[in-house]
Amino acid sequence: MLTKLSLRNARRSIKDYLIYLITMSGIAALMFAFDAMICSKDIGQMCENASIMAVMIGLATVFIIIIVSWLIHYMVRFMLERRSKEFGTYLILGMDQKKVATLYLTENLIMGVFAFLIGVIVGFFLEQGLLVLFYQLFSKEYQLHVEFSFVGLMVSFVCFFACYLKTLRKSKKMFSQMTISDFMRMEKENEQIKTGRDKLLQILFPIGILLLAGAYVGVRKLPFSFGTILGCLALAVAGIYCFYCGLASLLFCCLDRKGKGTYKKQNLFIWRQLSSKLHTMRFTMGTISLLLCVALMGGSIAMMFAKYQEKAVANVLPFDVIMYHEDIDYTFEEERKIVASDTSIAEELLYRIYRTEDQTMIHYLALHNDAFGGEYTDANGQLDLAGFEQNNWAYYDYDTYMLESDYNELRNLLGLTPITLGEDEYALQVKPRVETYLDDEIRSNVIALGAHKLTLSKVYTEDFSQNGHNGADFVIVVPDEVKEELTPYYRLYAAKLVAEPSEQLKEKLDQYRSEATGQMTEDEYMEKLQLLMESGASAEEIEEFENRKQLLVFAGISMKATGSDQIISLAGDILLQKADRKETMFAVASIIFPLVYIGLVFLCIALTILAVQQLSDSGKYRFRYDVLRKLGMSERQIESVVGKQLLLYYMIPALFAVIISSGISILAGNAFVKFTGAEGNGFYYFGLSLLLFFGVYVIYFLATYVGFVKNVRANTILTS
Amino acid sequence: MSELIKVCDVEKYYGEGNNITKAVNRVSFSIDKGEFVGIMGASGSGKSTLLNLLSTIDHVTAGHIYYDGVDITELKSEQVAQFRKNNLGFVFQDFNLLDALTMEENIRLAMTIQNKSKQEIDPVVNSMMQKLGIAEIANKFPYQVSGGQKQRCACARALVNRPKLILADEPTGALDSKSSKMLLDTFTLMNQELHATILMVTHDAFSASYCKRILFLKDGQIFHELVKGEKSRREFLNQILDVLALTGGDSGYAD
Repeated sequence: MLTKLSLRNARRSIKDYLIYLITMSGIAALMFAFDAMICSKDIGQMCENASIMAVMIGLATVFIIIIVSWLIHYMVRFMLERRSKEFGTYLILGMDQKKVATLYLTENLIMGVFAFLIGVIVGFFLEQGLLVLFYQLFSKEYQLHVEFSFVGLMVSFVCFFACYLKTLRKSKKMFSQMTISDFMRMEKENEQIKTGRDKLLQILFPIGILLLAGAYVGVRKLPFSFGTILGCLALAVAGIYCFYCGLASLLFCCLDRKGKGTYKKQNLFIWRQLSSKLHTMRFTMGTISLLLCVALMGGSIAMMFAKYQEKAVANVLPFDVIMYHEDIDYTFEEERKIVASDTSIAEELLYRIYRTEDQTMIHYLALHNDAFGGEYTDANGQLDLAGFEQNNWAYYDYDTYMLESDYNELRNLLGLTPITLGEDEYALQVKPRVETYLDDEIRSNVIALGAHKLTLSKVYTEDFSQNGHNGADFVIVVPDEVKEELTPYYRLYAAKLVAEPSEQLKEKLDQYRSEATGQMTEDEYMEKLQLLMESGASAEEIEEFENRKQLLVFAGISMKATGSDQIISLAGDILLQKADRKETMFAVASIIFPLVYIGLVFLCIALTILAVQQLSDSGKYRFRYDVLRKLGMSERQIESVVGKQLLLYYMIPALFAVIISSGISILAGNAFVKFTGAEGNGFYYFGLSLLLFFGVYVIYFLATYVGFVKNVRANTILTS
Repeated sequence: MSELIKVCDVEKYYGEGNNITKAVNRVSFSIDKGEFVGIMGASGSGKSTLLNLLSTIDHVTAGHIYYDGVDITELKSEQVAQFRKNNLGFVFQDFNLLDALTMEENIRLAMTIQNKSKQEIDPVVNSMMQKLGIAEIANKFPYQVSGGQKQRCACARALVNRPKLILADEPTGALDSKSSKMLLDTFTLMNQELHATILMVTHDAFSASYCKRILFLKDGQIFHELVKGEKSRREFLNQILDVLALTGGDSGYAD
């Protein structure tokens, strides 16, 4: 009988909380898909540092476990409240308290297992989809093949049920502390609304808004630091909760004042419903908004990086191979041999970058490039020269020049049409982002080279590898005639390859370079650092050594400038399009995938709580709608009331989350464009994310609406 | 008849500090085996609280309650559960039937929880359903039957284990007058033919007139007691109404 009972109960719960079950299945599917993907051999073989992705997904999983645990806890409690009288009845009939607790928690676990099983099946297909997507990122063909990852299954199984175990243990404790009278009373307690303090609590509404405004201003104006971010975050979280507490009380008091609008059409009914709902779940609403904010912001950031990898990577890596050497007579002989031994070279160019004593461009950009955020601007709005010279990492010490013939050869290598400069003309080749900083003043700058006075003919913004190779951010292209006036600065080598090089080419080149220049490899560096620390070196000595790593060893960079890209900066003495593109794509994917993962899960969890709340209340609401029906409302009017009620209920947290996250996302998006040179603007990224967000939102809304209308329809049988 | 329940100076307070409500205030009485006792009083008079104390759903603040000489206020929680299982049957205002089970299964459950065998359960459940007139709806689910039928099912469930005491909390509260009368007849039948001891809380004078004895509660204290004795039900009802008129308890009947 008890087995029958628990099975029937589980079946009923699945029916009543279908949306919850679907969400849990979805989460299990995502978990399995991502876990199986990072455990997949294909990915491991494709990229050596697949572990970065694993770490990022792992990190995302930690957050997801926390939030999913919260969802389960919320649902277990929610269902417990809904069914408290039933549990009281079990106890009264003489069932042991432990037995009732076990019965209930087993029911939940059955639902969990059910959700997990469905999730794994869906997740298996989802994983294939993810792999296709992943391979597409790397412009590779993915051969669909069935490989069921048992490691992935185990990992996701442990993660998924870790959420359950933690929550169910907590719930069991809660269960055992309750008495029959608690159970019998619980249902009634839900309906109580404490209204005494509402007048006072209204004040929280403006306080919440002020806190949020404070957080926004803080992010915008205060200097960037870990402390600032944490502080602003705390302000924002406090602001969100205050806002909802205040809003619930404000709404309540407004309705009590019985203003004009209160009695218009069905307003009274709708607003009263909403106000009582907000009142009882103000904290839940706050948490839902927080989740939605994270989802939206995660989506925006993922969009930024997705766009970045599309555009900015191409910007830095237009050449199949490009190499730097500070020796102006260096011939790259060994490197070329290594490349030639791997694949044949179609075209190649050995050339120099030149300089004069002029610093006009770098000083101009130091002042006008947004990426520095006014770092080098003094109180009078002028260039802080001393500060710039001390901290400059982005630009060479002098303006960089390139000869027209070299420039055209390079354009030829890239399949671009050559340019023609007049006798007294020069051209500017800059990154697309940098062009926006060039005002008329710098465009009318005359460059005096000996007897020549050159004026600007045109600014070119094609992808041109300008992170330290063909200049940092910019290079001035001058006619070959003025060559005598220029001092050679450093040597470059660019080549176009006939076929794709092997995976090992980059490694071979780096290996050679580090041997030839005496630069340390990563392992050597770690070994030396260890020795240094053991020998009892001073903090300064260690710091100096560590800085050396960043400058020299870390990415094999000996060039003195790497351009003003930040957040993701792709730089190195030797850049190989294929290998570096892959590395960068992988790094970018390691950010995008977990963000999308977190965003989706958070969004679904928030929407599940909204949906479950409404659907399980619809039984109760049926009575209220029956009253409306008896008062003479038609079915259509009732459906419209349901629609309005649900819309309001869904819109409040969404609108709120959109407002908060738009502020931050657009700010972050603009900063991202500023620092990385990606295309678009903050609004664009946020818009894309919002579109996705509302897609999922609409699905949940429609599911709730259909279920709700079905539940309150006149001919539905009321359950006892 | 021998004494089944003895309630001695029972108190139940809610709240703390200066905000204490005395829901039940030094109440003492006793119930004999086979009695059908009613507890009446206006809303908030403490009648449901008293029932909850007697049914071990709630704990006393002070005082003692003896069942056949056993002080249930001294029992540990596991012993209380055991006691409840073996001695008490419940009938609630809103039935408290499990909607996942059929009517018959609802009655059976009370016995399966006590680990009784199928051979033992079948005849008892069948005859109980026959007696209470719900055999025809045995396989229906609670949402498919009327309120009166649901309540009779709840009575059957309360009776199958032959409890020493049946506690009924406003059992007619959710029923129409016809179903109420049928249920009260069922109670009488349970009391007279099945010899069940019944304690019923109600604020309805008509329901109360079916009892053999009525305790009137006001502000947590017993302020009056009526015994039906040899009086007819109508006479007893008038007597109840007189008491209520005196206290302003249920003005609807007093007018």
